[in-house]
Amino acid sequence: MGQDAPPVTAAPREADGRIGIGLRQPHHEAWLALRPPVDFLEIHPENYRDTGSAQYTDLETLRQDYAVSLHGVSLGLGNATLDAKPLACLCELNRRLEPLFVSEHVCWTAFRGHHFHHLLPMPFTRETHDRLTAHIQEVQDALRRPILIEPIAAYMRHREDDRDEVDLINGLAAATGCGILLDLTNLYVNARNHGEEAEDFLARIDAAAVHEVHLAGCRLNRFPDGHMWIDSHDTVVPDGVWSLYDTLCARMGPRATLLERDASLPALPELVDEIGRAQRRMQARTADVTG
Amino acid sequence: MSLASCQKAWAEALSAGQFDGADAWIDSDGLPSHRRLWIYHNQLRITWREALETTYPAIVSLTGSRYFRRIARDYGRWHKAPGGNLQDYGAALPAYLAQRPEISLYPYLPDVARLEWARSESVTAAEEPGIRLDALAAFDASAWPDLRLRLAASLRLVASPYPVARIWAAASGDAQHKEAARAGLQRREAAAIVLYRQRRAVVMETLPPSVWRWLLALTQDRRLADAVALACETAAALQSPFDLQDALAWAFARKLVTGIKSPAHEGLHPTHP
Repeated sequence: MGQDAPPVTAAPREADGRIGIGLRQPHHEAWLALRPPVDFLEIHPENYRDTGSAQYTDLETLRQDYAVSLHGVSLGLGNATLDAKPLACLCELNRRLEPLFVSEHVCWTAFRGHHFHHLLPMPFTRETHDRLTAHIQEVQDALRRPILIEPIAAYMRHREDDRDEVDLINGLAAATGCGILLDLTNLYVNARNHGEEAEDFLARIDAAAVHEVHLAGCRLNRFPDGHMWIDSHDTVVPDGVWSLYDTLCARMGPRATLLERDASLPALPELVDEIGRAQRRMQARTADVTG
Repeated sequence: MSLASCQKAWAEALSAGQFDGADAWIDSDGLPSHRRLWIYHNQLRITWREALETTYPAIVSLTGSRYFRRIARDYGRWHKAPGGNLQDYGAALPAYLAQRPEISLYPYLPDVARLEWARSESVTAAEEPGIRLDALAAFDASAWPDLRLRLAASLRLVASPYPVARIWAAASGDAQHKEAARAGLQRREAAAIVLYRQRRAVVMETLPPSVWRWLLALTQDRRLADAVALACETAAALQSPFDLQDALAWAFARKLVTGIKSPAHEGLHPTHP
């Protein structure tokens, strides 16, 4: 989209207050058998690109009972160029599944055609803002809908930074009309790893642009020369993240909230219980905001 | 430092596992910058290794998990993944194994890896309805030589001078075949294997080489007459007959034919199940 093109319409707000769980392949059978009471399932589109596969058939069956959101991990918004093939796959899934949200990470994943399969951090600079703006617009034009962007957990900051992360993300939302997906575990991890204030992030982020919240587990890794909080997605949501969730709900009101668990998967009912906790906290904390 | 320079520095550090000079561009307040990069490097190695372990469980079993970790680490340095989808990461492992010097002691390993990769491709391939054998009757017999048969998307063909299906079964802990497979491990015994999916399970069958050659020609979009000629060539070399009627009955019974293409018609005809 060029500078003269009309702005992308903001993402709808009807998903506010809904709760969801990330759909992972080992849980397919349990989802199909139990149909637990959540509002939406989030998938990594990369795992469902083959629309004739048995995995995709499961997803289509579940789609009859649940809304779906697409949470990409490989588009590489911060790469020098966007690959056409994964973007085309994303467009196809968007057309077939009519998801609540389409989201991607604020990161890069490949350099000169060599892909790293990791969400790698970008410096917070004008050049990063410009590249991401162009690529977010390219994706939104292809999808004909706004996307959500997620600030990632990072284990370093660049010396080149000329702004902080909140300013970068708010600037991208303002420039492209995209929404924001706030992963509170990323905020929690980043605050501890870089001596930043997660509450300050929540106070300054554009609340109107925040459409979805992620909650996940993390771990403290100790090394001979120090320690680092790792965004591990392999354990329950820690108390510190729940506190941030209370703060967010009190400030912004209800938001679509998703539990992400990628490793050491427990039985599905345990995840349903955990996201139920988010629903109860959201209802308790947002009563004041919603009146 | 431009974004391109920054990403180049990252890419070089992650690829080589060399973190010298990182202080120039990483803010290392607290944990040293080389440790921060090591965390990414290590996570990447784990992600890649786990992706390979998921795709190649029989190779893990045959090499032992400790040795497989070395293979995974070295493959990570050798292979520049051309796409962002982790499902594709292991595609080049069979070729990589074939050029590792010590693999000459276990020459069947690259072919077992090819079999496992074919299985993983078959699992995620699209499911299409097969058509019935009597669909061929819609064509005049004089048109048959020019017909092209479209085969199921999940069909894969693997050939090897080693009994790779039995080796795979042994490595996969299939108790029923384990002993027999182990006995044949060192024997040089050619295998011509077809893989396809039925519902959620990947089926493997060992075929007569002539039938395997016939299927390979069909997957290459050859005319039926050309596919038969190639199958007969193989059959003659091995002094065993090729029977087209039997081969067609076998393929249609397994719903492996999903369409028939005729030069007289546009597209596929007929495609009804």
